[in-house]
Amino acid sequence: MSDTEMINKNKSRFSATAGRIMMFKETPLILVIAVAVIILTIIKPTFVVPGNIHSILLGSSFELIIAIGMTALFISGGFDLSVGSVAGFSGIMVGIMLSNDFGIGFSIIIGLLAATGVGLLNGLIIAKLKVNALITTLAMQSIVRGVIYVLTRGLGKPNLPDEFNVIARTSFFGIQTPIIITFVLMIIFGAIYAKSGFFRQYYFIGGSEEAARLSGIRVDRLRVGVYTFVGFMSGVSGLLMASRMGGAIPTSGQGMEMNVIAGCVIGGASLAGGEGTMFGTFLGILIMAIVVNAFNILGVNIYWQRLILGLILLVAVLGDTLRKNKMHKA
Amino acid sequence: MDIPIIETNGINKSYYGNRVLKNINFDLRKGEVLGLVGENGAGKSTLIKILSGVVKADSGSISIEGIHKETYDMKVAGESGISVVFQELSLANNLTVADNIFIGNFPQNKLGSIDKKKVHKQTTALLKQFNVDIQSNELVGDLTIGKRQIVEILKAVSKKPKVLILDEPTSSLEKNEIDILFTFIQSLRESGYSIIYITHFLEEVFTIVDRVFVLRDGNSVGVFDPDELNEKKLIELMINQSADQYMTYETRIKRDLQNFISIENLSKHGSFSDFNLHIKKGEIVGLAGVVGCGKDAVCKALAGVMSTNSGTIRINEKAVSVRNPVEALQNGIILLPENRKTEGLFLDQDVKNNIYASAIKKVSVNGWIKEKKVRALSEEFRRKMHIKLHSLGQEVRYLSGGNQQKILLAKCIAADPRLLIALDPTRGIDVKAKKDIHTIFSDLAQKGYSILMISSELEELLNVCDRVISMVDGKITAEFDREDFKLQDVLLSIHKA
Repeated sequence: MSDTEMINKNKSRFSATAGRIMMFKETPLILVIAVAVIILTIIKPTFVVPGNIHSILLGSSFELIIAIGMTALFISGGFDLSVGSVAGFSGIMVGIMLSNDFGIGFSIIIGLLAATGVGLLNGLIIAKLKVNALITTLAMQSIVRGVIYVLTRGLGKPNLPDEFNVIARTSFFGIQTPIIITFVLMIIFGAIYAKSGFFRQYYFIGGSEEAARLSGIRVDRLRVGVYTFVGFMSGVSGLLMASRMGGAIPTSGQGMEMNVIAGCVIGGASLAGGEGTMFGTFLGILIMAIVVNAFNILGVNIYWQRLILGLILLVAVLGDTLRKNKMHKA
Repeated sequence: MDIPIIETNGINKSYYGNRVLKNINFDLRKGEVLGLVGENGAGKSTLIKILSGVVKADSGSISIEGIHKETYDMKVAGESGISVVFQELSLANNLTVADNIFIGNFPQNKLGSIDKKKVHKQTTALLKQFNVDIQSNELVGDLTIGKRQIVEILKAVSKKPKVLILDEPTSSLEKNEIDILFTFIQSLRESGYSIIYITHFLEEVFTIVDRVFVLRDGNSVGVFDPDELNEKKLIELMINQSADQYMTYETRIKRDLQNFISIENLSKHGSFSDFNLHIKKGEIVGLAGVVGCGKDAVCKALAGVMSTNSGTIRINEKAVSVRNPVEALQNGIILLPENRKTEGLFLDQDVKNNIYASAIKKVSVNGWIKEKKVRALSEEFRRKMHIKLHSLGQEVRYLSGGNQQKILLAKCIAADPRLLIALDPTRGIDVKAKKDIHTIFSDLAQKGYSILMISSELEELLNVCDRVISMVDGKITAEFDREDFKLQDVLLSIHKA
């Protein structure tokens, strides 16, 4: 082999590797985060201090836990707007139980059951009765929030027992428990989404419901399952929020669905179903959290924050749709 | 003699270099019912599309009432009074008969709103004119299918056309409804309408048609007087008889086969009734019949996609239930659906991820998918089925129809079924891929798989199957063993009521 051939071969191997890295779906997201971090560090060196990074992760962990469920739902081609209300619901239920002197373990179970029950109800209505997912979960968002207000008469349940509050207020090796719980869950479910045979069925359902059905996949049952799972994860998130704050408030979780959905979509989950990864969602939520953090560091008016977050979501959905359209034209 | 309403001269049409109409000359006379018959793919629908201006002919001319039309498109066809009533109804079930007939064309009163009274009056007059027993204020959803068909035709008639092209109007009708429709068509003819009547049911040619125009492989065979024909002769005109005479279907060694599945008295209201069939292990059985005969429904019922009203299915002598595709698969039955793009494949997934969709367990160890097994499984099918790919990671969307169909077949076979139900398994794919699939089918049969298939080409069934069952109106009417295969006979049996 001559030298030039060798060089060419090495070159092509290099470009192949570079191509592979670029082909890796999450690469653009990592680049966006890297660029954002560099720019923010230049503007405000305090951005990269461990304390700030820790607070970004802590702040996003409650959303990430819901997003674990939402990612699975997106992959199956589903959609849930009620997650914020459901998170609030589980927190309030725990608050009510605890303030009536029930045990912590029992109260937590009731809180999780309440959230899971709403998820199950969503799933049954959407998968079995074939009601539109958007409307069903929008209605459920309002219904559940209404139940919270009815149960509490609009008042929160403050001063929860320390034995409960300690759950989300402890740290190991300097890392707060919500972050640890979030990462453990993300790793477990990330592996399940990527590799388990059971979960692969959701990619098929999201890819083509009819083809999945004819392939012998129990579409309806699995759909009910994934909505129930989203309810459960929202419940876990709500519990941790209540524990972190040391009290359950009726407005807890309000508007959370927006950040969760935006994070999933930015992370590559498609509204059409069949696409999405745990890692992508993590990066998507992280981008949203960095943006919010940057707003706070830079002192951007709170009113502008919602506007810009909305724009980010719109751009992400637009990107997803345009990509899909282009693909279908080809 | 009168000037013909439509006269065509040397119409040619090709799709992608494939000539579907060759030098077609025909004329439609005033006040006649001209039958248009031919096998699937003979060119009937292309001819209708050209006459209605939806498709442009490559060459040839069309004259309407003696006037040569320089350009011929939908607008000209509409202005010339040519109206097509398609097989699929376009009625809104939640509206009344009158509203359906005048939809998009409502008479208005002075205030510019719809003149309900006038709509009602005109509809009643129309219904009376043709002696139809329907009320103008009835909801279309409450009518029988046959009466809906009449409303559909009246909708076209209300626009006062000169020519009505009726595309298989009886394909989903019951016997008594057909009689009502025929009476209606008679009265249309008496009112001076000229009608082109397309049908699969040959006996209709002898009851309603004045002259019959036969197409075969895109060629015009000629126009005939039904009085000088009979069904057998008509069939002979429709198929290339000289070819069939010399066509010998490769004989197969008859093996002593065990019975696999017994279908007993299976019925589904409105689709098929008292369907009985035994399929042996390693046998390929074809279901033949025209559109609407119930063959698709039988296949779907066996695959758990359609429910049934009564009947028993036994597999290896044991009664089983197949209420859904999961149960079907548990009993070894899998469906190769008709539409690979919407019902069969996961277009945005790559090849290897499609192949194991029905066989996830096969590529998993302790519930975890093993990439190595996925690859090995797909590689095996790629080799065996000659699937042409750059890599197994290619998205299925971008592959050719033939390759897609092979992947769909691979996906079905990967589930290790014992009975494959294949709906038109080679539709719209190239000759080479088609041949490959036929080879795969006979290999599968050799290995003991049973196959039940339907096809839009009767010749394909005769090429591939060990046995062909003919269905008419939801009932089995004839059965042919491979050594008795003759295209004429099978054709005749599926066109007979």
